[in-house]
Amino acid sequence: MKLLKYFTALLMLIITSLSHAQQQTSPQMKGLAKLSISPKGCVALRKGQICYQQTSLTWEHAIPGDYCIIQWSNKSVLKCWQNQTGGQFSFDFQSTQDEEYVLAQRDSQEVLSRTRMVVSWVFKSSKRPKSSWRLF
Amino acid sequence: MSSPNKVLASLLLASCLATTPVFGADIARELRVNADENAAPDNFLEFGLGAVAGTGPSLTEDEPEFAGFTFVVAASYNYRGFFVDVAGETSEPLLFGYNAYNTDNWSFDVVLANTGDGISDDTDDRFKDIDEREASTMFGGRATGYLGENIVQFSLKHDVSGKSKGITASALIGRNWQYRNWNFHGLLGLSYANDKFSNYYLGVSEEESLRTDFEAYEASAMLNANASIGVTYPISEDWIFRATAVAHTTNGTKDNPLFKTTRDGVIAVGASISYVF
Repeated sequence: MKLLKYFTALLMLIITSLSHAQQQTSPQMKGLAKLSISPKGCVALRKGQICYQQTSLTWEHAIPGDYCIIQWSNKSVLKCWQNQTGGQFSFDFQSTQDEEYVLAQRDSQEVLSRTRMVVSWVFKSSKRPKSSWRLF
Repeated sequence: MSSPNKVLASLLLASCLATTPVFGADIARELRVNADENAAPDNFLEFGLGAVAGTGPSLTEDEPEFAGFTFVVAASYNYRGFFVDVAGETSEPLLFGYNAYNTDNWSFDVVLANTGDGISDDTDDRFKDIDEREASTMFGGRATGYLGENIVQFSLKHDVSGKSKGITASALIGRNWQYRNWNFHGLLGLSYANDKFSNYYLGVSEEESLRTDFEAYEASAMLNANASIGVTYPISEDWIFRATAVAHTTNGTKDNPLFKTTRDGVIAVGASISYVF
């Protein structure tokens, strides 16, 4: 009888864990999250220059929870919120290339939503040949 | 202040005539776009609208001040070392060249440039019976060096068209700075035109003097100093904003009878918005 109680408890624990895992990775969970960036682009004069842009990331989620915004290229956490359904983070974007930002659950680091700052430029310069005489 | 467009045109013409090509499109361009020493020239075509105001000598107006709107056109095409520049910033409206040699810090071009026409009877009624000063075709070399944060450029050209048979030379040093997405540049230069070049465009022969109201005048070699500062800002991938302030001396124009208004130099500011194709 005691063994049956342990087995039942173990079974409940497994079911609960599975259910929790299911909830964490479900597409519905991801569908409830939205991360947006404003403005969406940064324009530099020339390719390769650092592009500067005062930028704002805004997120919302239907379920209150602990969430973080992460800069994906270097996996650095920009800001985290506790038991919130939304938030905003402003920062000074500085990069020579596109950067992706994600909204993730704080504990599991599971990615719930993504957005991207696109870096573009007016002039694209190619490399100049060096140490060479040209002969047509 | 005089009426804008005609004054502007005449003053710009006077400015071009009074100084040899100094603001070479290439170095000004490289400074403007904040190109690094490894960057090859861009192919581009720009059209825009600008406003300019300033003061300086004039061939046609009594007052030295000018202000007005102007169209901005600039283009460059580079292919296998050959290039053609049609640049609004330079006093040489059309320049063909070949990038012949490069080292880590220096680039050498062979260039063929068209100076544009000088004074003719179309310039103003005052020049009704004057000999037309035609464009010179300048052939020569241009060396551009990337020395630390600075870009230097030296050029030496000779007229091969036989019009002026003159020689021009220039030396420039410039650098740029980026503050956020604003690209600033500064440029200092010296320009030289020998007496043949100066006299062809700004001299008055005895023969011309007899059939016009101008006194005979022999222009001597000219050495002028130049300075400019500017900023370029990318509004979008296709649109750029520019603002520039320029100053240069106009030695050789002070006692010249062709000029209706004389000044020691030109000071001008301008701003433009251009579409880049």
